[in-house]
Amino acid sequence: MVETETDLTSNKQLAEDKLIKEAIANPDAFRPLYESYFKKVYLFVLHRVGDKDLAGDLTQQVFLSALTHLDRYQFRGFPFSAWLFRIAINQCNDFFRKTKRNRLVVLEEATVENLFVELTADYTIEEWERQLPAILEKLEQDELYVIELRFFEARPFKEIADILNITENNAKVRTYRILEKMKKLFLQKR
Amino acid sequence: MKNKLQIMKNRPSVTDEEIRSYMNFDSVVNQYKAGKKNKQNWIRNTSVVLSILGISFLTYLYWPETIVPTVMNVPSLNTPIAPDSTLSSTESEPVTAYSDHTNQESVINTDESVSEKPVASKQEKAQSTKEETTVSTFQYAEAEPAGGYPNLYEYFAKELRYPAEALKDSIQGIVSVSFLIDQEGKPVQIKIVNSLGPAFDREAQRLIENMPAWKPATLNGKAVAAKISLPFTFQIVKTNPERK
Repeated sequence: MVETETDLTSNKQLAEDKLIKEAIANPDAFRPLYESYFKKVYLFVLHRVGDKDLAGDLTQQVFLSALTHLDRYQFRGFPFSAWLFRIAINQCNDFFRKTKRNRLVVLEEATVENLFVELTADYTIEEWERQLPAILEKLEQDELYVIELRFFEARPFKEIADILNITENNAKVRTYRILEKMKKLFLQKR
Repeated sequence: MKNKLQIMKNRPSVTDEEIRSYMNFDSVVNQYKAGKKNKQNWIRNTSVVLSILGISFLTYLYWPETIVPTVMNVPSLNTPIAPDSTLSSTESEPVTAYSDHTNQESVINTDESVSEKPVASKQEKAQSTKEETTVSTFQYAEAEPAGGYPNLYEYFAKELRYPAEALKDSIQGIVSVSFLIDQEGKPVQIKIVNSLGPAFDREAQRLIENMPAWKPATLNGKAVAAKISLPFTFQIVKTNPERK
């Protein structure tokens, strides 16, 4: 099942906000947040680095970083999880830059369908499947995240916007620009 | 190529138990605390280092030269007087003033080793500038070192040492010593007129006690005690070989 971030109720957000404020002074208060988000962040990281132990280490780093910079998080309409994913993206990018390891992209059939629905007007899925890895490699890092978050992980635009720290509209516009870019790349490759 | 990608057809399968096994909140908190402590230590260490640097820099600005202690012996005043018993009136007392007896002999004293700057020929000059005023009825000859002043100064230059224990306090100044040269030419009643501290006083006293014999002052051919006062200048002379 694809992990998606559901909209938090305002009550839950208020409770989280309270915990965050407490945790700034007392790190032990961070525990409930750690426990409720660990799995989501772990899977997010695992689906990009592919190694379970490594994902465990990086996830610990994400939470350490979050705890260290907790005072920088301010509730501005986006949930705490989006902030954690943003840190996770940075953590992964750092990791790939330092280790020069290949970035993992999970192209599950079920989720890739989401993308193909957008892309395959004139060409067959088979053709796209063949080209897709090379096309994804041509995308910018941020663009790849947008495609992943939107199509492979089926996250709502709102959440993508929160994670990437952009507006929801901007997230939509970007997504469709990237799709256009992919179509162009596809035509060049054929 | 923007991203080196590895495509996987399936998500890496991982169970909830496996994910749980990676959870370790205490380790995060410990690292957080350690990081915070390190940061504090770092801030503290940095501020200590910065303040040391700042102080050294200021010291460098205001104390630009390295310090080599030297001892300066400046006998500038030598006022022999006839002992009271022999005087009928103080007005008639012969007065000898050494207006320029300032042969400055500086001795660079580093780690107890003494090196001398050559005593300039000034000394002879200094001696020649002595003015002697005598009242006609008295034949007064002042007390003087048996070997002459140049030898005395040489002795001072050789022997005078800056007390090592005072070096850290950078004490400088003049120790004035007054004493009487008695009829036998021996220094008696050595008094420290102007003290710089026990170590300096001891050193000045030691020099006076051990100095070569004097020729006593004479009044009408008869030896009399005469009061002499000598200032010893202890000075830290700044020299810096790199700077002029």
